[in-house]
Amino acid sequence: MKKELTRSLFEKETIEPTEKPCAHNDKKTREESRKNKKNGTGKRTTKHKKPPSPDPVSPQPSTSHPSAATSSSKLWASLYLPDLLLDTVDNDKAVAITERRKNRQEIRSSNSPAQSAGITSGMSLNSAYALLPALSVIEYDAEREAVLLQQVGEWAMQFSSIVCLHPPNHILIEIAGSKRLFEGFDSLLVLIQQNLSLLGHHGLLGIGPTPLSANLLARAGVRRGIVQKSRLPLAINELSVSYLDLPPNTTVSLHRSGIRQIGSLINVSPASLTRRFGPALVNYLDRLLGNHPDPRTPLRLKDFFERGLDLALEVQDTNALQFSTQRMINELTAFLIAANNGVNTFTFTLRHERHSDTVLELHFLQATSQAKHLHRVLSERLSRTALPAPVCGLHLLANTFSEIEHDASDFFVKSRGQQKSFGEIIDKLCSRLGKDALYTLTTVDDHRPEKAWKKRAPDTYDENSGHWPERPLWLLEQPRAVSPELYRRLSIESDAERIESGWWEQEDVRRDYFLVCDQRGTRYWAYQKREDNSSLFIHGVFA
Amino acid sequence: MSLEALLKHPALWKGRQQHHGRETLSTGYPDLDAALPSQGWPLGALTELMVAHEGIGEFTLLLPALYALTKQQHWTALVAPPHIPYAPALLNAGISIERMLIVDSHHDHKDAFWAAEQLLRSGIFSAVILWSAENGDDRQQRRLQLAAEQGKAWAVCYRPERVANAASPAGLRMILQHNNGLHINIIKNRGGQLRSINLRKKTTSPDNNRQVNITPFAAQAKNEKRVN
Repeated sequence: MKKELTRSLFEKETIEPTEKPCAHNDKKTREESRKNKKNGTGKRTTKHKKPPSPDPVSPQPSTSHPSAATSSSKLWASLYLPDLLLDTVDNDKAVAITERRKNRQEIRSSNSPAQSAGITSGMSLNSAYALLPALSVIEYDAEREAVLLQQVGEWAMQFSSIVCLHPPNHILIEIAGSKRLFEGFDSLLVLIQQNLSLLGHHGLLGIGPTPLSANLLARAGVRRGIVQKSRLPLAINELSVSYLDLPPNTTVSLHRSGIRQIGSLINVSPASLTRRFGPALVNYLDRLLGNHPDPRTPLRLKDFFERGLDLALEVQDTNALQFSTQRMINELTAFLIAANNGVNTFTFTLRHERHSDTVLELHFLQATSQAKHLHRVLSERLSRTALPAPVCGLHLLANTFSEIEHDASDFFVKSRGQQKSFGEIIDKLCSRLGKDALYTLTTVDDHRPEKAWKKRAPDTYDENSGHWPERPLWLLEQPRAVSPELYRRLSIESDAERIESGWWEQEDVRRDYFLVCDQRGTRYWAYQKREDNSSLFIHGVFA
Repeated sequence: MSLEALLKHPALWKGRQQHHGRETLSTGYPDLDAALPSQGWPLGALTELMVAHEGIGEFTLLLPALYALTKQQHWTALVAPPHIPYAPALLNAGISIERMLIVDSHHDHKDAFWAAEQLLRSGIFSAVILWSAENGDDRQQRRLQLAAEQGKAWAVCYRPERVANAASPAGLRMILQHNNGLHINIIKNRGGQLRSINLRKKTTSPDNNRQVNITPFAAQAKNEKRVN
């Protein structure tokens, strides 16, 4: 149903380029800056805005700055999130949000199981309990709602560089600048809806040329997007005034004056409106229709990502965390896309009620921002983590980022893609086997055989050269003393190779090495100690 | 229908010629190449090597092919090797060791199989060599075979000699023994014939005259060498 909503958004309106050359220039610059951002040329291109390229249409460079988000030439998508608090709870059981009003606990909102039991907004808590004794109740918390709105706002920054909050439950996304990047508005809006439901939130989208008109269309559930200001009055004429974002007493007095529809409100002269309802209403209408500028302050990304989550029920098994971890990873991914960064490491903490926290450090060979990859590595790691106690909360912190290579249309796309998946497969294996389980080899310039090699991280490069005397393919972890029975069956096949080294350290080596062979054909590399040549030690196998 | 048209029919299996036109990976031993239908190690299939006991040149057998792959910057992997793969010896064999990933499964049999399967499936690794000390089962071998097909990789699994008589989905199975050099007994050879081959101590790799024999460097260490 959501898909249908966004698809039909532009069935009547056609998106036309804005008329003003100045505005056109501004838009172009922003698109360019977004493009640069995506190509990874700068971390925060919006902050260090490049001078606009000379435009043949208008010789003067644009003066407007993206952060001064005025309503002209912009197109706003408003995301209306009526139930931010309810979205965070499970939809399996009946939950209601309550609020204290005039010494009485009232239902502010409720989820669908509660509604189907007959619980409605404005009902007293006692009547609600009478209807449904098993109802879970959460007290309304404005601060928590603001935090959630901020989080969704940060998430929305992956779609546009200009995202503004309109508390308590609107998020404004400027989409005119993102049109080309996302290949048209329709696909952008579908993407926003799909990603929002992945995040676990329910919202309505409205598209309008001014922030307030977008909010209005979202609240009223108008599916059609309005692009031009001139078409706005006609589109909102028949909507009820109760959809306007006005103080409740203003709405009531409007109703008493017989003004029910927005159209009739617009037709009243501003002077008489001011006389009756004060200047705020006229100001609101001017901003709604785009007659007055409506500057907004865009959100800025933080330079770290942190999410905490308290679990309603204690969890004994890491498999039960899938839903919550997926959600946290989705938010992390959105943050990374918005910041145009990837993570190399992040910290995932499992909180326990009566035990110290379990802290997991996750490492990635190459910086990544892919949700699938991040989640696979995290789940693999979680499935191998033994829980010391039930989990009551989760916490994710990522504060070191690095740039990732974007798959630009390039000749080397294929090899880059392979390189990327090499990192992915290494990470996947490391998450199960441990970080030290995967390595490549390198030689060390040391004559002691056990010190002539060392491990090194895969995909790092050291110069390996030199030619060695005959050496076995297998070196034993610990030299093994030859038993007398085996000794009798061995025959020595080579002359001694004397190795004396390391006298300046504790591990002094003074040995004579031989190539020995047993009757079955196994060839060993064995040595005698110079100071004591009574016994033979096997140190390697010529496999 | 003429015979020629009939021979072109895709449903017709032409026995030994089936590998024509495919990429091959020479074993580096002309006698062994001649015995294999693909004129080299089978790609996209599992090769099982059953070894009587270690130290008879069972790993040296793979070095020419690993040399050829790593030289072309292909990735190779050794999964759960029984001892430390010794870098100086690998360098002596000409292998570019920065292209050889070592996977240490800490003696966990299941982890080793899982890792080998993942590496094969990824399509990034041209060769994955797995050492399996335990008997393993038919199902695990089949998974490896499928992963090798999917990743079009050369998969090798070392297994104990005692499983030689058990059924296996691998395309090529060999028993390696010591008999005045390395004695190879091919007990399964998809698209080819069963043979026995003895690799003597003098064989050369096809692409240059680098010594890749079973006893490659015996001559070098003849003199007693004093260090320091």
